[in-house]
Amino acid sequence: MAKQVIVIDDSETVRQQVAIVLSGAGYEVIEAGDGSEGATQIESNASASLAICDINMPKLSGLDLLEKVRTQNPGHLPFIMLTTEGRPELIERAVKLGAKGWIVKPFKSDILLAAVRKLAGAPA
Amino acid sequence: MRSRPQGGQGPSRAAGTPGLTIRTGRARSARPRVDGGGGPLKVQRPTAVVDGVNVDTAPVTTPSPPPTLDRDVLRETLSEVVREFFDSYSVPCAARSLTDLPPPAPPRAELGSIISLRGKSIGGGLAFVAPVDLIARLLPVPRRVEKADQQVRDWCGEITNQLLGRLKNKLAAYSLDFEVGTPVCFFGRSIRLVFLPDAEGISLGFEAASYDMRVHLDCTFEPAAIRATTDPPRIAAEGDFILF
Repeated sequence: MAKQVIVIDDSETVRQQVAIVLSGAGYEVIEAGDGSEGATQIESNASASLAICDINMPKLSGLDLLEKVRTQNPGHLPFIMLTTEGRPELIERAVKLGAKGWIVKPFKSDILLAAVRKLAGAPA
Repeated sequence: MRSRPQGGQGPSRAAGTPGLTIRTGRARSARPRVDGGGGPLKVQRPTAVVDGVNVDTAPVTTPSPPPTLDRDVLRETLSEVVREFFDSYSVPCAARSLTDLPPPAPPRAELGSIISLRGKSIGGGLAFVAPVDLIARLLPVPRRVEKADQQVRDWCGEITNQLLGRLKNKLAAYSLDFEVGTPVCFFGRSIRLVFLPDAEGISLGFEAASYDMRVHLDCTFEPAAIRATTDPPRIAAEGDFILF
């Protein structure tokens, strides 16, 4: 069974971009359009191997989502933040909350895939 | 410590943006981690090689920003942001005087997007307006016939988001920080945005791929209060990847 990656971004285009890269490599991609939907998908897909998450999103920001997930399930599910933000204080907050990676948009496909392979392992 | 070669490989970096670069590219050989130097970024150093891809750090030598942020500096910074954005998508982009961009006849379909920004010393919004055809051309994924309108609207919003993100990262050199909202999109024919009479907006024109487009920044700030910091934060640049 293919490993699942949850992609949380309010831009459908970005989700599609990520999905094309990861599906092409053999991962199963689950999409969520905001932080709140992301929380639901994470809860519903307990066997997911990784979350790739934007920061500035409606309803629940990526970092607030990460905090929520960590509070409910410490050590659960690695997160990569995929965002236009590059400020150190945000990166530090992500590190403290247990994020495993940070990519500044726009991303390069090979970099994204390498990060996913590193954190989620091989697709199947 | 190494200085990053100018014009080298890896993601383009904003000139004038001081700080840490995590350069990414195909690994030719495993390289040791490099300490990016002092500064407030306290994240764990990135792993050197990830699955065949180098992820290393290098201090960046960049010119110091002007001492104070005024409208001219903001205008130039915004112009640089737009040119760099299009460059990152391999679309040539040149600044054009707005007076050289007369309304097209017949009026054409355009899309716009606005994102609010709000911080202690700055507030306002950034708008991006361009022909639907240009936005569709920039779309980084295959067109979905059944969702064509929704797709370009979404991408228009994301373009504005990425422009504002770049601007925010560049303005960190002035210790200027702000929250970024989520995009609101609008559609029209030959859209012209007009600022309120007492607003000191910045409107810039550009030509990209033979289309003209406009970027508008409507914001209030106190120039005298915003000075370049002697210890600027190290900003992760576009395309950078940090593995904790």
